Amino acid sequence: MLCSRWMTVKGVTPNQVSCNEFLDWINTNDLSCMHFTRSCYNWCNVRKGLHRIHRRLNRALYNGVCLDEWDSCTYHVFVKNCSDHYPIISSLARNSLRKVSNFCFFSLWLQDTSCLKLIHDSWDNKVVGCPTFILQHKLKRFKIELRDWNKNSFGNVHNAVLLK
Amino acid sequence: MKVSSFFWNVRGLGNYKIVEMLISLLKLHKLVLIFLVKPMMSYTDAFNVLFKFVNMHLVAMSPTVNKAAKLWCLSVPNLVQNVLVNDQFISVTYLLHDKCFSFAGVYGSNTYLAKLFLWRDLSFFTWPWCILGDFNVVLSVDDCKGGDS
Repeated sequence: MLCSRWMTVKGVTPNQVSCNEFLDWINTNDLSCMHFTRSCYNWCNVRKGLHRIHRRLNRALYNGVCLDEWDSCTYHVFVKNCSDHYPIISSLARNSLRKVSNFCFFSLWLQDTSCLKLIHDSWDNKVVGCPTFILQHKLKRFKIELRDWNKNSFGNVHNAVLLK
Repeated sequence: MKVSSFFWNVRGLGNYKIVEMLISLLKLHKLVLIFLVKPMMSYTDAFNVLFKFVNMHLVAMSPTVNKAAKLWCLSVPNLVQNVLVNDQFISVTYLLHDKCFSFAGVYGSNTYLAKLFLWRDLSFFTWPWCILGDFNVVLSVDDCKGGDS
């Protein structure tokens, strides 16, 4: 919930009625202004001295669903260039780092006959090359086959326990 | 994954500095969407000086706001699902990795009455929505500085 501050500030004060309309719209639609980087003001009448006015006319607003679904919603105000309005960039980002777990062999797999068969079949497949290459290649192939077997036919042990 | 959109009230695309800055920004930030206000130029001219060099396609052009003012919306091709054009805003919906989200670019009118229409028309945020734009209104005195009478 946003609320605006109204105090008598020296200089031109903005129209309070239109500000309140804007505020009502923001609050009824569950919008929020996000943190910005760099300048707070993004409009300037390019005049010198006391006549210079800065305003924050450009904004980026995000609704509640957006803030929930995206990890970071940011907006960036660039430095003034040619136009009296500053350019802004708004970014939505989601962390897509997926943890890759290490391969480990579970001894309970050996109790399953299909696993032993898989190991035999995998190991009997011929590989041509020098002995170290053969060992390395067979282990690599074996790991992939075992992982797929675990995923497709053996299934998740934790879920199986829960079902029983 | 990151999606960025850009908004700028350029007040004329004729200046080469603006064109240079836009091209460098587009290359640096991998923008999905750009909103340009008051280009003061025909689209074909702007295409020849700027959009030819970047992979951006015109999505929508809002009707005249204040006499000559216009709001342009350009986006990378093949991602846009839905576009909504109003005289004060353009809303573009994307579908990326089965997730729906929208960007809306606003150029608020200077008049009080027209802005009431904007507040009324732009209120249907059911999915992730990011609204960026020049609202032509401040929220409080904190948004103002200077202008001593």
